[in-house]
Amino acid sequence: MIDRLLVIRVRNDRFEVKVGQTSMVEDKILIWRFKRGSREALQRIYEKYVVYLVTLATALLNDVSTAEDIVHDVFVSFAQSGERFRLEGSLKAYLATCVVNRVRDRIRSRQRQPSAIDEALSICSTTSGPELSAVCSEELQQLSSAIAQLPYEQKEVVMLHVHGGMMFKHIAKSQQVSINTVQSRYRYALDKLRSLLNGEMTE
Amino acid sequence: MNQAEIKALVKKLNVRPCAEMYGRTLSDTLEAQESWKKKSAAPRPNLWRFIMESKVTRYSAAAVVALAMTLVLLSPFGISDNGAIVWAQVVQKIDESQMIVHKEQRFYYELGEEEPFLKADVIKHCCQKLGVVEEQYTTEGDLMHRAYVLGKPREVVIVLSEAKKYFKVPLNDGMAQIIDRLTPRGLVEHFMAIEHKKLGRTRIDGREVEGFEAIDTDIWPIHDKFDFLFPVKQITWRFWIDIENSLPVRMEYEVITDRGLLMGMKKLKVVCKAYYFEYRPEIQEELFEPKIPDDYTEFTLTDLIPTEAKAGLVGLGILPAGFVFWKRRKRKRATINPR
Repeated sequence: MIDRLLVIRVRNDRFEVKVGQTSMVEDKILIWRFKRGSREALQRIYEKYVVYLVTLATALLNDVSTAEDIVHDVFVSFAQSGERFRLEGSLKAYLATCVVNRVRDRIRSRQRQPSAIDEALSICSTTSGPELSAVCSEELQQLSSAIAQLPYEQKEVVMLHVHGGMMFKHIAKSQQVSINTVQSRYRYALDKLRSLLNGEMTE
Repeated sequence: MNQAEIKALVKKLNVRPCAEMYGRTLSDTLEAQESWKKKSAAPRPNLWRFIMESKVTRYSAAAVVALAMTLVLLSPFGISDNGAIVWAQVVQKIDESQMIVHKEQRFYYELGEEEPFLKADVIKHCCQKLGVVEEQYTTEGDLMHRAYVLGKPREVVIVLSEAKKYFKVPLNDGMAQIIDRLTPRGLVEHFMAIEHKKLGRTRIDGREVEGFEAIDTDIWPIHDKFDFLFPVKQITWRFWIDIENSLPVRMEYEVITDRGLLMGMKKLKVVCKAYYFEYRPEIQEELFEPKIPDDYTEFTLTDLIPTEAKAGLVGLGILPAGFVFWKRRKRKRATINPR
C-alpha cells in the first residue's frame, strides 16, 4: 500500500502532490479509524465521497432527490456496519457499488427505466434553486442529456469507469457479466455519446 | 467532440447535494454510528480482556505494551501532513532504508518539576523487517539496559546490565497484535490521520528542514486498554524533515502521563530529543540477536509489580523495571544472609 507512494516531491519551495495512491492510503487509515468508532473519520469519508456518490446516483436515476435519498441510505448503512466492515478494494469503489446496487433496486421497484430527456436536466441545472447547486455549463447540460439517453447498463459503465475510475473487471463483477461485455457496453456508450453530442443523432 | 473530450467532460459532472440534504445525511450517518457504538460497547471482546484473563501474563503484557510504547511508538516514525502529503514521501523514503539508527536524549520529570529526576542517552536501531533494538545509557555512559522488540521470533527481550538480569516475553497472538500496530507501518496509519500544524522552515546541521507538530491525545492502544497502568494522556510530536530528501533529521516528543501503576502513581513528563539519524541501506542482522551474557539470570515483571506497587515502576517502559530492580537489590543486600 504505502510502497506505491511515489507521488510527492518538493519543488520551488512547495510540496507538489500528485494524488495517486495517497487517496487510497488515506482511505485505509480512515477505515481503520472508522472501525474504531472515530466520528471524525466517518465525517471525513462522508465529505470526501458524498458529491461523487450523489453525482453517480443522479446520473443513473436522473432524479436528484431520489439520488440524495439513496446516498443518505448508503451512508447510514455504512455507518452502522462499524467494526463488521471489511474492505478489500477501494473505499470509493465500495461506496459506488453500494449506490449502484440501491439504484438498481430502486429501478426494479419502479419497474421502469428512467431515461427521459427532460428529467436529465435535473442532473445539471443551475436553476433548480435550493434543491441543487450544480457545476454546470452548456456542454455539461448536453452531456447529461446524452447520458440520460443511454441504456442503463451503458450509463452505469460510463459513470463508474470514467467518472469513478473503477476498473472494468470490478464493474464486470458488480454487473455479473463478463469483462468483454462491460468493455462492449463502454464502447457502445462512448460511440452513442459522441454521436449525440456531435449532433449526429436526434431523439 | 472526440472520445477524450467526452471522457473529460464526464469527469466534470458534479452534482452537489443541497445544504439541507448534506447536513441531514451527515447528521443521520453520525447518529447511526453512535447507535452502533452504544450497541457494540458492552459485548465487544477486547484485547485487554483477553490479556487480563490470564493472571500469568497480564503484568508482563502491560510491561510489554509499556516497553513497546517506549521503544516503538516513540521511534522515528510518525507525523502526518493532513492527507498524508509529506508523510507519504517520508514513509517511502524510510522504506527505502533497511535500517535506521539514531541517538536520543531522554529527560524524565515529575510533572511540575523543573529538574529531571533522570537523564539518559539512547541509541536506537529500527528495522522494518526485524524490529527495534535500543540501548539506554546513563549520562556517565554506563549501559542501563538493552531492549529488543523482535518480529521473528515475536518476543520482547530486555537485558538489564547493572542487575545482570534479563527477561523475555514471547508475544502471543493477542500481544503480537499490539506490537503489529506499533510497528512503523501501524504508527504511520495512526499518525497520518491526526491533525498537525507546520512549524515552518529552519536549518538543522546545515540542512534546510520543514517542521511539523502534532498533539496526539488519542494514544492508541494504551488509551483505552491500559489506562490504569500506563495512562499516557498526550504526546506532542515535533518532526523536522529534510526538504531535499524527505527524511527526518530531528524529532522531539513530550509525553505527559497521568498517575498509573507503571509510573509509580506519579504524573510524569518525558522529554525526548532524537537526532543523528542515519539511514542505512543494509541490515546488520547481528544487532537484532539478543545478547545475554551467561551469568545473567531471568526474571519477570510479575515478580515485581505486586510487591512494589507503591514504589511502582517509576518511569516509562524499561526504565522503571531497572529502577525498581535496583531498589530490590539494595534491600536484599541489607538483609542478613542466614548462612
